[in-house]
Amino acid sequence: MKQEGNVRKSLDWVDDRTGLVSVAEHAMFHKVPRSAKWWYVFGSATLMFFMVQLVTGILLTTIYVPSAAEAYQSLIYIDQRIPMGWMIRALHGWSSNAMCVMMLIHMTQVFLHGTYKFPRELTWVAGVFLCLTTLGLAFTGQIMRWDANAYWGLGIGAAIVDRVPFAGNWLRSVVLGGPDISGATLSRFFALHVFILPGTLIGLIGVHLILVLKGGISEMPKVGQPIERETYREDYEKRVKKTGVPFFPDAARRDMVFCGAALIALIGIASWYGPIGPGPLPDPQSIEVAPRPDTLFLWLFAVLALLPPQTETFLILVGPPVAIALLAALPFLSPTGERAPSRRPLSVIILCIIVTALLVLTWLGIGSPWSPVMKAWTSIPTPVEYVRHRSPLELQGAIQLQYAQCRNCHSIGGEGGKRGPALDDVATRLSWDQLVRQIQQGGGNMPAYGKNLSSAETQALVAFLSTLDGGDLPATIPGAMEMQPGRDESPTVDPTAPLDEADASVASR
Amino acid sequence: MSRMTRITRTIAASALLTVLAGTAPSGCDRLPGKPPPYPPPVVLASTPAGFQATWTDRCSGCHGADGALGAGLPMRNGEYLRAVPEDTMFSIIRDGIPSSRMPGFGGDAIGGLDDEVIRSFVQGMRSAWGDAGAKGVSQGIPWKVDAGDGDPTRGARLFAAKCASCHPSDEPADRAVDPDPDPLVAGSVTDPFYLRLVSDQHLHSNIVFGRADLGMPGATGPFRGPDGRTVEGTLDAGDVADLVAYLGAGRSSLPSGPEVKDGAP
Repeated sequence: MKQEGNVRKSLDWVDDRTGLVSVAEHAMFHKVPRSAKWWYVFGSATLMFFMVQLVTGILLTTIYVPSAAEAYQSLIYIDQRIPMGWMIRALHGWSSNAMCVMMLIHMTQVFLHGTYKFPRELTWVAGVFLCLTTLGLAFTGQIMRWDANAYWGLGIGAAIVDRVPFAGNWLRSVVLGGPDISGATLSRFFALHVFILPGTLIGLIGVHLILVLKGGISEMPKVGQPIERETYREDYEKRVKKTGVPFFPDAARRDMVFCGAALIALIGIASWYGPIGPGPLPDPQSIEVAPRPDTLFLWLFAVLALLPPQTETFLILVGPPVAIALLAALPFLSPTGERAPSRRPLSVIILCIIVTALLVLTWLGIGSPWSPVMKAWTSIPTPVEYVRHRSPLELQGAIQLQYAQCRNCHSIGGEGGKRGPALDDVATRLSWDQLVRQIQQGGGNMPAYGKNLSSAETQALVAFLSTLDGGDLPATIPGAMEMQPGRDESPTVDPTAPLDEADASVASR
Repeated sequence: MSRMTRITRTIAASALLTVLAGTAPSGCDRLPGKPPPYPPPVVLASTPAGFQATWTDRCSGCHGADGALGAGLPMRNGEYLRAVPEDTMFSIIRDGIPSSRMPGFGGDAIGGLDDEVIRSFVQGMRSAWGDAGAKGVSQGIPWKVDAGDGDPTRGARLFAAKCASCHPSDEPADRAVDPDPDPLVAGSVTDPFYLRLVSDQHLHSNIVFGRADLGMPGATGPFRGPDGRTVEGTLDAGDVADLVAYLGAGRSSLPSGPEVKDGAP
């Protein structure tokens, strides 16, 4: 008892001088609605992952060298030479992904429950800026690896900035620290990743939390309990006073359980999958690279790859600002009214569309079917069933298919590029003449090969392709699957004719 | 709880923690996420693993995943590998075969392999497949074609007697129409388009060493005669030269497709 008295006295002394203890006590023991249950843990988990980022990030900066010549080697040094250094990198990388995912789930929950409405509009706005800062940290983080993906990612970023009218050139040199990607580029991205963005984030988290405390934790939405400016505050305070529970320990218990589980999952993932990257070193001479961003940005990668070229500049420059402005303006567009998802079908539909679009684009980004498989021609064999029972000319065609690198864009037997259509059943879709025409003149996205192939090479290629009937599928167009009749009528000696004297022994030898 | 018990417990817990902390890193060293050594240890292409990796990366596309049943000549053929001198194999792989579809994988090629790597790759290929396949298939005929000393007329008769049964000049029966096609009929080798795509060396190598993976015999046979019965006897170097001369002469014959009959070029 005496000890507790001493602690209290010390706390009172600190509070008397700073006022911080009462603030902390208010934060800990303020009343929250009883209905705030497991839906409310995602924000805390995001914060927890940010703490992991801070700790591991500080540890990494003690060794990482932000210079173009040494950055890559210093990562290798951390991975290979520092005891458990790789684990720190793994935790940092995976908690970055986890933080973004948690943040998006948290935003989804807030959107779905209409929590952004009066009087919590600014909490949402602060959240939108938190979201942007977090994504900025994730993007600048992958630049720190200074590998091929970082290099090409920067190249794409610079190309986007370059498209800004009038100021494009200037903006690009601001971003890159010069006309090209160089050591100066890494230095400024390091400054962004380690000082500017984390500092901004910490400030924004402070604002966000103060606003949460000020506005109070929202209740679970109830059908028929719409938000009205005149009455909401009074009603909310009355209800919380009557039925609320203190944040600590009642509500915080769930946060702690969830964060603990998330932390264990993070450690599990980090120890199983290890650090993310670094990938191969950038080599501007190598064409056999398939640069791709981290999973989080794969959807954006897909959008950039799939946009029709005419719309690119407009959509890239106008799309993101409009989207961000709409997101931030959301609470002002719909400040009051029902919060229950069942009464807000439009919001639910919009959310479904956004989530589906992001998932589909991410899935496309993983497969990136628009990128040719540069090594397919030497490393993916012709399926054995397409080699057996083929004539010598058809086999030469199969070689031609590899040699002309057709498979870098076309798959057969499920392997090869996905840019063009798979060729397993091409004979059912195109007649002999159409195959010749397509190869010689190209069409669609396919370049014309007429100048690169001799007539014999084309003939062999078409002979092979016309055997690809998808395993005896019927022709889908008239004329397909009909071999060119009487192609080879070169004279042969009558096998039954007797051999002349000198060669009489040949047949029986 | 007595003071002593508390102290004992504290000591025990600290000891346990220390032991755990001490052993954890050694356990963590075996976690699946630990990055592999960098730079990766050099795997010589002469070792089975190194050879297989290089083969898969650069050769399997045309010569088959396992050195056979690819569109191009199989290398899983000990007789062939022993017949071709190591230096020749090295230069074929490094520089390719000019005006053929065998590209070079060393020298100035993009991403080309060092000479040392190619040399050890040749060794790796020999130790992996040097004993593969039947022995004596080639009848001791040299691997390299002799240019221009064959007799095409005699070659034509030999072809009719020993080859044409499996390589008829007309199209093989349509597999979709004929449910039970002759499995030995492999299609025409007198097609001028085919002949223009392949060198005399290609013809020579195929005749001498066969393509066991596709059921084609080498110089030892057995061959199938025009009546469908097995023809006894083997081919010697002169026979092969005659056959190559006969087939090679077919390159200049005009393709006889419908457009030619119509008078189009």
